[in-house]
Amino acid sequence: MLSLFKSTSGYEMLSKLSSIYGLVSHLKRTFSVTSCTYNETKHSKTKVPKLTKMPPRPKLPENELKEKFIKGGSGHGGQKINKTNSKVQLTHVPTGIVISCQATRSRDQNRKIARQILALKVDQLKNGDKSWKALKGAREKIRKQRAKRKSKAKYRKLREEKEAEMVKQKPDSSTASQADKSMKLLKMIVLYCRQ
Amino acid sequence: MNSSLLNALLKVLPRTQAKRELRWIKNELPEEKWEHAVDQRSHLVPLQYILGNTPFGKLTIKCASGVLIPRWETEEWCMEMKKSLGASLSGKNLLDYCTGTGCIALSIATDSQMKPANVIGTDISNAALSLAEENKSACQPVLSRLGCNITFERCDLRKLEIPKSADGFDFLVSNPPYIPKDKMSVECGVECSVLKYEPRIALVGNLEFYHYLTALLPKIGARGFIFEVGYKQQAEATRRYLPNTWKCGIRYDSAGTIRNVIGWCDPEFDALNGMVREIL
Repeated sequence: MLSLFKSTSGYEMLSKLSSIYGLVSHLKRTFSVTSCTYNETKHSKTKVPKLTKMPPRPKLPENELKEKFIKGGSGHGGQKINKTNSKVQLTHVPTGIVISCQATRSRDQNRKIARQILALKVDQLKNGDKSWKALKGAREKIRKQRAKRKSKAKYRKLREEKEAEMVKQKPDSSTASQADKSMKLLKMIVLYCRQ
Repeated sequence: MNSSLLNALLKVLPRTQAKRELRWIKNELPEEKWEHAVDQRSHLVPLQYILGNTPFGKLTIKCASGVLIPRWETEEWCMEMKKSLGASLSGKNLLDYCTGTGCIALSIATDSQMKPANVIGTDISNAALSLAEENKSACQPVLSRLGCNITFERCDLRKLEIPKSADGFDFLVSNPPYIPKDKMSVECGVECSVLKYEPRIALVGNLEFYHYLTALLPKIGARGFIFEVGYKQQAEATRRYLPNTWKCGIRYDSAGTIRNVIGWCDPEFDALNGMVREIL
């Protein structure tokens, strides 16, 4: 392989490399197609883990976080002031994402919520389509699709049953076919007369 | 109705705060109480008295008129203390003087890492003691699981009364009244709502209380303490009252204001160094 590359010019080498790459990507494609069809049989088009095999909620290490409690107001505090503010501002130092949370009166609670929200945001930025939130969303989509398909199938079945019943009922009303027959007989008679 | 409630709050509160407080009132009270709650709040009654409680760390502490509402600063140093002292208080006795709602005592007693043997909370006010008892019964499941005894007792700090519920104590914490009498005004930064509705007995005080507290230390056998302060001279006075063998320092809160004076004479409590920013 190496000698082959040595004897060829740069351009040729490039084209060979690209053809090898093409083969690899072709293999990849076929592989992904097969894996996709495998998934198709499981009624989903994207690779979404099963509900029981979902990855755990993302978490951030404490040493990557910078926390700030925003109380506002002047320098006075302690017994002099009775604040109801419990805002928590959290910064993810490596990415610089900042969020704040004041969902509840409890600072302890707000700290937990802020950590969850920030972890989801960082995960989304890092993993995009494969982030926990995206996977969760895809899972939910699949669940909805399945429910829709199920209800569709149910109504289709009902409709078919109804139609089958209608067909069954048809032979009872034989007047229509009798009229048909008499019409044909009439036509034949007319033809015969002309001849 | 919604806008009339908000407008009532807007008379006394800034817009974002008014909106936030209205949201909490609606979340935590039944609809028929909204109007009364907003009316009270528009007369500056503290929100915690209206809603009946305040969060304190993991706990929800009951609040009632006549007893000081726990402040976020107190919550903050209490959490920090738990973190830095960790297990060094386990099996020991702790005294919380001027306990009020019992928030500090209960927060320590319900901590699964600290595991003190006995926590005693004392206060001069009977209203505070009965509220502390109520708060204790709300925490009872956790307390019995951890096996921590917590008792509340009436004691007068000015008479240096020592609680009878335990033989001696290893550690003393306190949030005594620390607003000097001449500073009890809106001009000196005291909130109108605090002046009007919170008990003066829990607010007005100065150096004398730190004198009593330090005098109490040898009497109960405590080898470490954390007191909340409002002014630097209170921390400096505490240092003066202490023997030279004690280490002593100041802690600032996250708003950058002086908040605690911390001292210890036993290397067992050297972890307190982590809370101290300025040695006295």
